[in-house]
Amino acid sequence: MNNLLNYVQSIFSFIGGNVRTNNYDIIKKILELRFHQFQRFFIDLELSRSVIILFFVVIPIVMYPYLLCLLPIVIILFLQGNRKDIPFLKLTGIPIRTVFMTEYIAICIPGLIAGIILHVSWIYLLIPYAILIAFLPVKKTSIMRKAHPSDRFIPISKTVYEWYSVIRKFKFYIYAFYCLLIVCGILVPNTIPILMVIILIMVASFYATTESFHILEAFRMGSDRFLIYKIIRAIQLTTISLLPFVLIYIIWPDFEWYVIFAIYIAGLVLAINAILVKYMLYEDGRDIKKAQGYVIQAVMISFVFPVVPVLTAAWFYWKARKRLKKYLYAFD
Amino acid sequence: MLSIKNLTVFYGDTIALDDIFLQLEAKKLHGFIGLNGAGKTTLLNTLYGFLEQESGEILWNERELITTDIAYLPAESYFYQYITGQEYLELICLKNPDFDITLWNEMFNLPLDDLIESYSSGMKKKLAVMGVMAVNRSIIMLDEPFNNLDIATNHLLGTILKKLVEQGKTVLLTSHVLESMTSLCDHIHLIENGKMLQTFDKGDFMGIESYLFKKRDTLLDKNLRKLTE
Repeated sequence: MNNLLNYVQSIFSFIGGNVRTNNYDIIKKILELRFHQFQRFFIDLELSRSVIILFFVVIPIVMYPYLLCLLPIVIILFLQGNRKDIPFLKLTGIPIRTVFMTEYIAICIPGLIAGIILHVSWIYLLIPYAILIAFLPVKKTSIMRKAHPSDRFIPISKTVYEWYSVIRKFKFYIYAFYCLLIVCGILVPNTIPILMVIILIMVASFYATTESFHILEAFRMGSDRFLIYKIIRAIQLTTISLLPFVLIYIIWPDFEWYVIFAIYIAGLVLAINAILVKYMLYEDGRDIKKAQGYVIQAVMISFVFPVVPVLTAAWFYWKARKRLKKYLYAFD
Repeated sequence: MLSIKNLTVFYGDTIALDDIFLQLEAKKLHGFIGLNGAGKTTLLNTLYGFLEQESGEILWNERELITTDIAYLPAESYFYQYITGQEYLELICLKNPDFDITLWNEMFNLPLDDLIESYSSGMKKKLAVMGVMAVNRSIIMLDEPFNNLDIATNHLLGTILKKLVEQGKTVLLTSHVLESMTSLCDHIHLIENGKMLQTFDKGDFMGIESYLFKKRDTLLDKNLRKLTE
């Protein structure tokens, strides 16, 4: 055991520099911290979130254990694209890539075990994948951030700023994540429904930030027209983003068609609910993320009774229209 | 003429504007001054329609005032995350493509290709001011527009506002910087505890300071004397 520890210590000192024990101790501490964060996350889970995790993570994994092998691929990519702890890690003085790598390898362990049990031939590639991702560029936190030249190729109109802004925020990672989901669908076609649900939850989360009232007014539409415009654009873009999965389903049909259709409709209803909740809670400069999160989670749970989200959409439409009238009444 | 007649606004049980009566001449620059919590922002928010009035009437040229008459710059500006200054202005100009972003930015000198998150608070204020100019409406309302602006931009904004008034716009602004107000405004209106106390015309601006501080200075003198005894 001591030999193993010495070996691990020597690896970290090789990557991190000369201060052997110090780096090893700090990484150990950070991993412990992450473990406690993970523990706290589950301890502090509210009922609504627990149900969502049960529905969208635990049940799918029980149904398709293969997903456990794929999950680290997605989680690692998401983490690398959304690291907010870089200033903190820089304070510790240890090379941040070493921390990333250690964390990502730790995340791969359950997938590795599942892969070995399930005889997944490619499972060992998880480790080089984790190392590779750890060395990919992270989001810059410099004071002046220029719009990246690649932003010109964002295939979405700037008037759909919700989508445009999220794509710009995650840049390469969102494309990579999307491609990964497609690859997952091709490799394991019977995961298509789950992958579609992941896309649809992502789409719903795009509508978690409010815009200034100047932007609202710039469209010069009354509240009804504005809401319908937003909903139609969301339906168009959601449909386009689901097309590859529908195509995979057409090539390898593992389900009855109505399963895919039902998920598509449920997804649209979810996106519509998200948009309407955003404008129902809208106030210039108000942070609605948390409140909207709760409402959307409630809507997702209510999918057990399929009529409920349709009824909530009608109710939210009425409330959103009323709220927007305060800002857009002059255009009605 | 912007006519505010018997305007009363409540925040819950607290009266925020108490029976305000004001006749604001069009094509003039009107300043509103008052201490913190006096009701200046409440008045602007009510004129814009953000707050509902309990009673009273607001008329613009003999008809009801609506938001499309006003370009409003609130004290705190919000934009949208992960968009650049240029993209923000392009969104604002969706239905007003005549606004020349390049020409305006030659005056404001903003890094329009950068993300708005990376702007300093002064730069954000400049962007918000440009957004308000882009809207091009007959009344321009600015709540604390000089906050966070550097001296040069302060001067620039003052010059722009004067030009806009010359072109026929009506400007309403609030500020705690008395010098800026007296040098710019045609009329200054004093609000205290939700009540319109007095209107000063350009020739009477010298009297504002003594009017504002006389009572407070007496109290201050008394308390300081007690403390130093």
